[in-house]
Amino acid sequence: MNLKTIQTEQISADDLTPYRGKWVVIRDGRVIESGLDPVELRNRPGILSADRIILVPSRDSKVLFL
Amino acid sequence: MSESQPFSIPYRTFVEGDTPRPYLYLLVTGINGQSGPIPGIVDSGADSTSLPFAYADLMGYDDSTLVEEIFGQAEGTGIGYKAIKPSIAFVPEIPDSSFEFFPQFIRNSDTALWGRMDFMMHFEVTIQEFNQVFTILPI
Repeated sequence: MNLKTIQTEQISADDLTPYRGKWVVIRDGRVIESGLDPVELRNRPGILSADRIILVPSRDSKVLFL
Repeated sequence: MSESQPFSIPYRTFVEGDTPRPYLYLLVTGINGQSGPIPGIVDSGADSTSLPFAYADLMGYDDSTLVEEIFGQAEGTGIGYKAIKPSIAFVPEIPDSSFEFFPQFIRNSDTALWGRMDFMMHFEVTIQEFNQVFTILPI
């Protein structure tokens, strides 16, 4: 069966550098809100259930969990 | 017997200039019924899926649905909180790939890791580091 490529889009079309360590709300690939508390972000007026609420890693550290 | 469709996903970064990694979005539904996509790294070194601690609130977990656990990491051991009730996740492009998992929430973690004993029980994973691509095949 043929290989299908998915999830080719970037995490965000915006530069997320200013948001390191923060939560961002992404809609249509763009950051529309940011903050330190994801629940507070989700409850802000205008946030839609389809919006992506994600945590931007605070640094480009190696990921080593066992 | 039907044959599963394999899917290829290119490595990505959160911030331009960071190390590209095998990030995969899963659509996760917590025990509170709230759903949202979470980008995590497909990590064969993670026994099971772990999430940054703040996701616990978003997904409806609290003291009554979490138990403290010691976990190992490269720098030694740390404290995690293992869910005793399962959440549900699936790859958005593969709606019938849904599976239950018991996430571990880690303080001071800022990266979700999709681990072996849950995510990889439902997907065969192939990492092509040279090409910065990985593939998943629903089992």
